[in-house]
Amino acid sequence: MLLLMPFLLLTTSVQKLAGIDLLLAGNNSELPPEPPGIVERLTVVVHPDTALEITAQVRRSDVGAKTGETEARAERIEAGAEGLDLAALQSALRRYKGLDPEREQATLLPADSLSNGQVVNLMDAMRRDAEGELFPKVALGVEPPAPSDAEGEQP
Amino acid sequence: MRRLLAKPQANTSLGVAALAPMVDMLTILLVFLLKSYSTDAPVRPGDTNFELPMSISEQPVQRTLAIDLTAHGIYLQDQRIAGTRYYLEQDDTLITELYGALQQLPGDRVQVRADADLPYSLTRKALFTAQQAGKRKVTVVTVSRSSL
Repeated sequence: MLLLMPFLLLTTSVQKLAGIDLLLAGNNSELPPEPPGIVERLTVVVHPDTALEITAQVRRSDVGAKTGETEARAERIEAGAEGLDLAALQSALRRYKGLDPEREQATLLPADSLSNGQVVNLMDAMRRDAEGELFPKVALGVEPPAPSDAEGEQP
Repeated sequence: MRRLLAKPQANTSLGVAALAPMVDMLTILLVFLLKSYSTDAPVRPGDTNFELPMSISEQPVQRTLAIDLTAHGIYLQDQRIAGTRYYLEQDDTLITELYGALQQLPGDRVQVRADADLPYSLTRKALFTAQQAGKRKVTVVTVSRSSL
């Protein structure tokens, strides 16, 4: 043990690098197909310092619904004094995970003014929470944002 | 005199008792070092302002083509390709210099090492450029929270 300790201390690096594999949404490229589930599309749009917006296409399962009919669900999480509310985001995503446990993919559309550190924090929040895995395959929007998306302002 | 010259008897039980906490401490330290052990070379060691974002990810990073986005410039395999300020201020989505250079290089895997404080707009442009150049497998490099 006394030989191993100095060897480890001398050869170890202070930075341990970790990678996050990306799915790139946009450029007319199809994202990898997901196993069929009740949640067909799940997107998190980030408006910097103001709110997070979760939109989802969820397949209707009531008796009157036609085959393949979906309903759009939207949820807005306002930012608090400390910034974007990641705990509320995880709580909302956990509900969608409960609806469709097989789903692994979600799309993140960050605002351009966010820093890379904030985007990685958001991706981490979407990938797992304290209870376990949420949506480990996060697709990042790389297409330029549409003018109407900018800061949620309407022209 | 006889008492002074007499060899002191070692109190073996006391010695073992004193050694046990030290062994415990070394074991804890050894486990910690093994858990956080890494041989990753530092990223951009010459650039003191460059800092990668922190992540909970533990996925090891493979050696592939590396695009570095720093406050001073955009680098491909440590070669400066373009300036950062121009692409931060312009609306161009494609980084043409990077696109041309990426097309010359084989493989479809690329890693993006972006400064944590830079705006995402530049990273978005770099990702878009990589995608357009046929690099389908993109990895964002971060620093694991389990680092020393």
